[in-house]
This record gives sequence, structure tokens and C-alpha cells, in this order.
Amino acid sequence: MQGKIKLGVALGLASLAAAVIVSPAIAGASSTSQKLPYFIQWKPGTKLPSVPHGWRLMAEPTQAVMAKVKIGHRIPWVTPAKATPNTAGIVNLEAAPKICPPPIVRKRWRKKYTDVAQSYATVKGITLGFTYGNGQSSSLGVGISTTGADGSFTADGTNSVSTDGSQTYPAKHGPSFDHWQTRFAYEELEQDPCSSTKQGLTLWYVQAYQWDAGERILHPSGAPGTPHCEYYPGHSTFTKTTTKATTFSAGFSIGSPVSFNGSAQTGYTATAAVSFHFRKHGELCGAHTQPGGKDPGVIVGAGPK
Amino acid sequence: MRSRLILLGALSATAALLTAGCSSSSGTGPLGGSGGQAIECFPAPRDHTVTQGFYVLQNGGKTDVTVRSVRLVKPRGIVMATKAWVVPPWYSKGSQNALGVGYPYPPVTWPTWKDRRPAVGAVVKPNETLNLVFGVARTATKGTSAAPVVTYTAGGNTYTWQQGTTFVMVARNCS
Repeated sequence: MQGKIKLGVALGLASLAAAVIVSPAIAGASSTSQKLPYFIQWKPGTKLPSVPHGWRLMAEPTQAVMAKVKIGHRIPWVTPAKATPNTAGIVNLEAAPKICPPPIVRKRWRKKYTDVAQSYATVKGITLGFTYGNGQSSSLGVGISTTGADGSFTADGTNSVSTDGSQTYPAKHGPSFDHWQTRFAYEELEQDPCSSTKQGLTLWYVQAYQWDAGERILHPSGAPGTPHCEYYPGHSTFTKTTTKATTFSAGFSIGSPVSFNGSAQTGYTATAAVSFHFRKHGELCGAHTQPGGKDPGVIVGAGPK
Repeated sequence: MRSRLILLGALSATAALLTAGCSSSSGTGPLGGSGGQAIECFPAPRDHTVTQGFYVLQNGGKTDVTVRSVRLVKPRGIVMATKAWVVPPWYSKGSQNALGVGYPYPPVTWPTWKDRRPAVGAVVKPNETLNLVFGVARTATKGTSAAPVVTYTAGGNTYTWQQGTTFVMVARNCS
């Protein structure tokens, strides 16, 4: 399994592999029933997704270049063949009608805390740890709107922001409920009307473009239900480097004037790790299956039965 | 000697496939994917057999799964000390429990141990979950093994399943 953490938006993220239904206003009259990802993460060397006739795939430049684009300027798209992958080896693509110019940067928000992992210990005797490593890719949901109005953004695909450093969070001793967060920079983009969309609508996007580092641990009031348990003896540890398909319902939030809330889905990397250390015997419990199953989801450390 | 062992291993694997009488498949079968990568570590006295009951077989398909073999591939400082069993989960207080790791072997106090069946030849029905259980012993200061490789047949195809969690055994304390 290749490494990446995946974050998405509340309404629409299922998985990278899943197609996202493009709304008619976005897809254009010629392909209103078309299903395709509008924002796509692509690993160079793999096959590019196909796009409808008259469309093209363009790549975002590197995070460093993206960060230097000034407000009011267009993103300097490049062709996928000329794109430079981020430190996680991923290129962000946008599928758009060929005549569409690159979008313009309109607003920016820095240092927005975003969930990158969640773990819980319901009893004493369990210590939780989290490391967010170099080369980690966080896939953050892209919001899209045809008006740009507050609250009008809905989910449409994801893009990848990767880390260029590593941070280890302080250990937390149970009982402790922990949402491990780091910060990302987000931006609002304006896509000019493209005649091929027929409706000629301006589109507005909200997306992450840079990792801003920093760490914060939020402590929710409760732990999720995790009814699939396994025994662990004292002085044992469990370290999970992926939490595939775990979707966090409120991964990040950008307030007014866009009011876009994102969820988070974590997985795929060896550089982010959630750990449980049992000082005395207890249980490890998964939401969907036992931690030894194929897809445990959120994992909780608990006391023995 | 080493190359001879490798050759014997390859012949053995080929024979197992031929015996099964099924075509092999490289796709994901009813037992699903690996579940991602993890490492578990637990203490155990050297040369004592303890229970390894971390792994869980879940048939997410629509056809029966028949287990054909369970083996550790190139463990270091760990031996699979007993045959493998499948054990039904223990339901208690709203939880579906698997054995986990570190119980003495055999885990006779585990409520569903009496319902165990040999893993090889066991059938996992669609939507059924069974705990894969076997004894392991640490034979070095520190032992390491990838998850067991489970070969199984379903719908006329042969698949292998290996959960993504590596296990480590130490003398006293995992840190």
C-alpha cells in the first residue's frame, strides 16, 4: 500500500478510486451524465484518467510555485507530462474543457487546523502516540460552487498536499480522546466562464495548496463505538501506519465567507503512525472489524472484559 | 542447501495449487485486502508457546471460502508451534471479540475455544467472521514475522490473503 493520508470533504469523498459525479453546470451540456473526477490525484507512471471529448487534464505546479501565486493571478497550469510530483509522489490534476483558462486566486487562508488522525483510549494504562512524517500526503477535499456564496460550496474531488518535514506529537495517557491535527493553507479560486459549459457560469473552488506545519490535539467528549475487540497483554504495543477508509466527519473548517467544512479520510502511508502502548492488559477495538481484520476503521484502546 | 530448500518450497507451493484443482487468481478474493500496514509487539517467554489470535478471516463475498493452507513466510526468531485453527468470535456485552495475542496456549479459558475447527479445510461462509488462531513461540531474543499467508479457494479460484500487520515478540516490554 502506497503511503498517503487522505482527507476529503463532508458530502462527497468516497475514495480516490471512486468517480465523483460532476454536476451538470460543471460538466457541460454535452456530458451531463458523465461521471468523472473533476479534481484528481495522479501518480506519474500510472495511467491518466480519460476525459470527455473537448476536455483536457491539466496539472497544478508544485506547492512552492502555488504558494507564490499572488492574489488576482492565474495558477500556472502545466501539462501532466511536465508536472513535478510533490514529496509524496503525487500530482494534482484538474479536468476541464480545453478552452477554460486556469483559475484565478481570489482569497487565501493560512494555518487552518485539519484532522490527520484520531485515536482514543478509554482507560488508564494505555498511552497514545502519533507521528506525522516527512513525505506524508494529505488529500484535502475540494469545495466547488457556482455562486461563491457563503455556504454554497459542496464537495468535488480531492487534491494532495504533502509534507516536507516530520512532527511527533506528545504522548497522551489514557483515558484520552485525541484528534491529531496539523495546519494547511487553503485558497479560493475563480474559474472564468467557459463557453463549452453552455451555462457560462463562473465556478468557485476552495482547496488546500500548502502544508503549514504546526500541531494541535483536540479532545472530543466521547469515543466512537468500536465493538470489534481483541485482547492485548501488558507491555505490548500496536502501531498502525494506515487507518484506511477512516473518514473524519469534520476534518477542517473554513468559516465565512465560504463556510466550507471538510471531513478527513486517513490512510496509505508509512510516515504517519498511530500507536497504542498497553502498560497493563487491555483490548484494542475497531469500528468495522477487529484491528486484525481487513478494514478496522477507527481504533480504540479499552480495558479488558 | 539454501537453494535446495527454496526449490522444495516452490515445488510444494505448486503442488498445493495443483491439489486444489483450481485456477489461481491474482485479484482480491472474498477475504478482501490487507487492511493496511501495522506492527504489533507483545512479550512472551522464550521457547514458550503463546496464542496468536490477532488475525480475523471475514468473508465479504457471496461464495464460500475454503482455507487450504496457513503458514508463516520466513519468520525470524519465531516459529509457528501448532496447527492453525479457526474459532468463532465471542459475543459479549455488545462486542464481537477475537482472541488477540499473548494468551497461554491453548487458550482453554476463551469461551469459544471449544468450538474451534482446524483451519485447513475450514469453510468461511459469506458474511461470516472467524478468528484465525495458532500457537507461536519466540526462539531468539527478538522474533519478527509477517502475518500468516492464508491460501484459500472460492468460486473455483485460488487466492492468497495476508493481513498487513507484522508481529514482533520480545522478552519483557515493547516500547
